[in-house]
Amino acid sequence: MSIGTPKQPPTNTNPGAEAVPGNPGSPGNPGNPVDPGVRRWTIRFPKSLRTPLGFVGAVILAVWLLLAIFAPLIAPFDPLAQSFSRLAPPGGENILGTDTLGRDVFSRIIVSARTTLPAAVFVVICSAVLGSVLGAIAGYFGKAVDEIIMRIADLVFAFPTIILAMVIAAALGPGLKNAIIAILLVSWPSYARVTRSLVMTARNSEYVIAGRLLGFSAGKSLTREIAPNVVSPVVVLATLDVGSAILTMAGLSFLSLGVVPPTPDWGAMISEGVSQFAAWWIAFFPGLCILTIVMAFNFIGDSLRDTLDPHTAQEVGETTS
Amino acid sequence: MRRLARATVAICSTLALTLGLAACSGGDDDQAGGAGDTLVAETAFSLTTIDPHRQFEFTGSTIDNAVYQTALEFEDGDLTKPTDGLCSFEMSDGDKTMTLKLKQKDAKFSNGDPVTVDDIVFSFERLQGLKGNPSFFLDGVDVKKVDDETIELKSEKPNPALPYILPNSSIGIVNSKVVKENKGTTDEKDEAEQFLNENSQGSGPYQIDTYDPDSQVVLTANENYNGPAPKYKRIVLRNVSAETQLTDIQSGQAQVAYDLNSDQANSIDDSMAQKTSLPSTRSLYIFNNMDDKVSDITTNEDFRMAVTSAIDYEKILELSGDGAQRMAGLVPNEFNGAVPKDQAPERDLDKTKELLEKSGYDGEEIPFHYSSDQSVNGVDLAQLAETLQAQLKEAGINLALKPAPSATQLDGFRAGEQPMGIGTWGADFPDPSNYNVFVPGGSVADRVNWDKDASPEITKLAEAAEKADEDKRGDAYAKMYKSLSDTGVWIPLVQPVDTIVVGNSVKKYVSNADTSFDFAQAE
Repeated sequence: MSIGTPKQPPTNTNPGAEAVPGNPGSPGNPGNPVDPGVRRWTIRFPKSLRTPLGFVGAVILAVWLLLAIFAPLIAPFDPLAQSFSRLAPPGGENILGTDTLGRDVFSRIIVSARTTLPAAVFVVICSAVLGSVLGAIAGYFGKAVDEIIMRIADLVFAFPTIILAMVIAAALGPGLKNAIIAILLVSWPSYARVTRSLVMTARNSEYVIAGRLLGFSAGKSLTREIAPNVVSPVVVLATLDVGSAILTMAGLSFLSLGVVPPTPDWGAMISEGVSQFAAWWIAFFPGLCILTIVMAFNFIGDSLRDTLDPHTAQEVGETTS
Repeated sequence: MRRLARATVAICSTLALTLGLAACSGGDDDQAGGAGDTLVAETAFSLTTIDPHRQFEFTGSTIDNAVYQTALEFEDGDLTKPTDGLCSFEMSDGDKTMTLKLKQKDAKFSNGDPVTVDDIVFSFERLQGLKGNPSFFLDGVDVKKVDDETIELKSEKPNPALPYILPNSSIGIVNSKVVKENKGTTDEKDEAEQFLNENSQGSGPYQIDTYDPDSQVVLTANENYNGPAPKYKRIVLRNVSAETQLTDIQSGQAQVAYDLNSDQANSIDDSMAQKTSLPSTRSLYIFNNMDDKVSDITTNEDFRMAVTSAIDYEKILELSGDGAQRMAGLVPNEFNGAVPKDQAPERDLDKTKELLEKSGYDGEEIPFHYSSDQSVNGVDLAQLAETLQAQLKEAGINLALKPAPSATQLDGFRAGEQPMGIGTWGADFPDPSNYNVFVPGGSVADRVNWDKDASPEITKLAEAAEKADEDKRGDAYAKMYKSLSDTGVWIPLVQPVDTIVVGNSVKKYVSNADTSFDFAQAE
């Protein structure tokens, strides 16, 4: 299909597939003993996560996913029930203590993961799709289309993310839906920029030109020939972005612009804890949750970049060494 | 080897720098911590001006209380009894005329000029003429100098609230001669605000040293004050958040913290600070809209009374902190005309159930509005709303919380568009007539579309209270406000508590509901 592909689309994204020996991004098999049972297990774990940090990230994320999925079974109490004494310290009946209204902090933290995680993933997927499509259009067609789309992107870039998200959320009114819209509107331009530059490079490649000479339409050229070159960096960016989406959502909730009470939310819990320094557990544990989950996504993102986007990894390695 | 030497140098220089910084900050601590005759007080500023006739905010009033004297005062903070200040007073002509006689003839402004009747007249007229936020205090009052010792205040209608209004710090007496020299007038052309922000012209125990509305205001003792000289010659009022106030009080960097909530105050060890709880002059209540187009359920009296009996008031008291009080009406318990708090409703879920059935409420969600960023004397409105929602849910009433920043929430409330929510009212002056705005047709009642002719019975009681004699006034108002509560349009929730935390280096102090913490009497 491709003639002289300058940048091979990665072929190792398929978990379970045998490692491609010639792939520059592949760290190569570590030379495990040939016990077939162990080998199968190792291969099933996505190759791109087979770095120490990637592994740690994946484990933390897996724990969080399990906690979120089974939250109703794990949470010991109703997260909304104000049935305990106020500001009880961790230990005893409430393992992570209670908040100012006498609600169980542990139950609230667990249940909060059920709103935060899906919302963050959803908002990142949406902004990745929106940003990539707009970026691809801008990069492929160029000229006025490019100017219009990218100037809008610049406009968004001109503001600090959280400030613009705050303004949008404040204008739309508080609520999870509006917070998602706000984050979506501020986070698409980074995808548009990355996609645009990749598309602009690929657009002039010989194999794309050849395809056009064969009569491929713009859509076909973009989806069949250019897209595979764009997907990896966008996936890496998206994984790294989930962490910042969680942070932005927590920030909006902290400012009472996110999830509407009484639905538990990490950001709102931290905001409550700020005025209760002595009751450190109110803010500390939700903060720890945000820290671990953001860290997990960053580790996974880094590992994915190392495998899927070896060029960037190399550049990063060169500049840091 | 060389690397080791380099590391040693780095460590030594870091240590030296740290020690140096520690030494410097130690020096600052002593100064900031109010060693000797300096007192550091901290509050989160709400401050735009300290021109007495323009200011209408908490911080401005705290400062002006220390800088300006007023014609009348509340002795020892008893808000039910106005007493003589710079002047003595007498009401006559059916409360239409007030005669003020200059009493403190030895009172002097900070530049040494004596306080005269002309200064008092100028101050009253300037307050009226500026058409600023506090100008309404003397609306409809005609100010006239009779002689060098006497002033006459004539009102068109009986004005029994006037003695309760005059002690307000917004009616502070300024040096008319100097203010006039600095473009001060008694109309809207006045340009003396900037001058008064930087140069106080009062006769109180303190005068302005520096004024920075963003960070701090410094006061120094007024050498010409005619009362006992204050022990603290310098007051530094700093703008810091409640969280910082907590750490500053604990570390001894500040002596007075105004904004700690009850939980924060209780977290401080008794060996570090003393806590004073003053009844707040603010009321927290639930409002219900009376317009069918806004909500067809809050207009139903059975539903409103069901809400009234569904609230767990004891829990709300607990949330509001030690010293918070129940309210049976909207008027704070310490004021004349307050409904005795033992008449306040109690939680009764059986009654709620019965009333809900009668009202035809079918479990629909009712939007419940509140300011998510507002805290009233340590009561966080967001937490209060969440508590109310949980309590009403137990009774089968479903609220959909609608938090918004206070500016947005107030806009909606003023437009009369909110079916239900939390409202707050801070007294402008400690008199029941200040709460007339809640009577049908009043300016706050308009916000829930409660029209003037909606309840002839209450209107009649309000008119009777307005005309009542001085000794029967309190009872008449209490009766009226009780009937107001019985409609459930306003459901009084709690009278919060004003907690002031004072560091133990201050051995003696006076704080009361009128002047709050009194700088001049602290020792």
